[in-house]
Amino acid sequence: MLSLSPVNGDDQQPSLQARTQAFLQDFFAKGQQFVRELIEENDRLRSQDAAYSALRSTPASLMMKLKQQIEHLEAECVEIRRLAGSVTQQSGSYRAQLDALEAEHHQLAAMHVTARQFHGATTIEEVIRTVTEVLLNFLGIGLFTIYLVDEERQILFPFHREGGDVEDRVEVKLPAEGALAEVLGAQRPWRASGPRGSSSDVILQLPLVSGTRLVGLIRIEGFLPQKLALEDGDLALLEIVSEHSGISIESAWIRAHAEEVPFARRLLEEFVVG
Amino acid sequence: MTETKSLNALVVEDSPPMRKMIVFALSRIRQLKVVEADDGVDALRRIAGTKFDIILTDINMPILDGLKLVKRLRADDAYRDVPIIIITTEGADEDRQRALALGANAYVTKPIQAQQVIALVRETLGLPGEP
Repeated sequence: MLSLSPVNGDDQQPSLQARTQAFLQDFFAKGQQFVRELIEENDRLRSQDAAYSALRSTPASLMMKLKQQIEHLEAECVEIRRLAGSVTQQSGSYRAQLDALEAEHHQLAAMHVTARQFHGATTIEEVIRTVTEVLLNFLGIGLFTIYLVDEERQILFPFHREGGDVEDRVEVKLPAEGALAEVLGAQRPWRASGPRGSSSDVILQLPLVSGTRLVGLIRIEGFLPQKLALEDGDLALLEIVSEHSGISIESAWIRAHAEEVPFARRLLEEFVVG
Repeated sequence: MTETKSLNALVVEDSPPMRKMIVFALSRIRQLKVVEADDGVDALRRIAGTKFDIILTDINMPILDGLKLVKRLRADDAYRDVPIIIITTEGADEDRQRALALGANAYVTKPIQAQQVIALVRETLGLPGEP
């Protein structure tokens, strides 16, 4: 603290003026320091205020930005949903097409296998076995009778029956009458668009034809419990059975008799020579 | 690309056209290697030489029918848990119950559709569906 006590001129102490000078210098230096500190404080507060202001304005702009992004994402979402719906629709359509192709593929395979089996059959028994396996396994037909033609007697005689006793079936005279006459009248392999010869106890009568020659008949009488009706694919397979089994039966018959010729010739030669 | 594990399937069926149709259906499953047997006895002969991952069998067959075959297989430790699918014309519920009681895993009645057999075999073996 600066003392203002009187100063003796003889003393070695500084004069009043010098001390006043010193006092004033000190006073102004402190004032200057104080002002500088005020300015700094003011600057600090101002920058703080600016930071607060910036902070206050950020959420609003951020909200705006986020809102825009949400709107954009929602628009994208709508577009993706539209595309997904379209893809699902297309996929469903492809699935249905694929299923239809698979079913057709299966159908063609069944027809191919059936035709091949008939072509490989060399005896009447093999042909009859193939007919039985195809009707039973491929078509679900559990009750049927196979008749063969006896040309000399002009009759259809029961040769094999599935699901029942063949003895229960009787011969049918040719030319046939009624619904059967209509079926046999075409003199060609059966077609799904042709007459079926149905009656109360017969679902379908399938002529077995080789060219124009009638060699037999399948009378379809009932299905397996799990089979309810014939479908389009089944009818296509029956067309194959009608034609190919007819040819196979005739081929087997010719083959069987061809084998008898050398034997008959040998017998005759032995008889003549002997 | 990962290599797919190959699986062995045995088709036991005495009717050649039916056997061909089942083999045709199974040929659509790339992982399967299919072996054919004419009847139950032929199946036992084949089983002696190869370990099969799945067996598809008919019921009505000469000498050893499908149900007897299932019984024999379930008594064999190597085939106790191997899936067996019956494919038959026998549509009665008691036949189905009998086959399942003997240890068959599934029962399908003829006439079959290829897709039906393919889907069943895939599901039984836990194979993914084709795209």
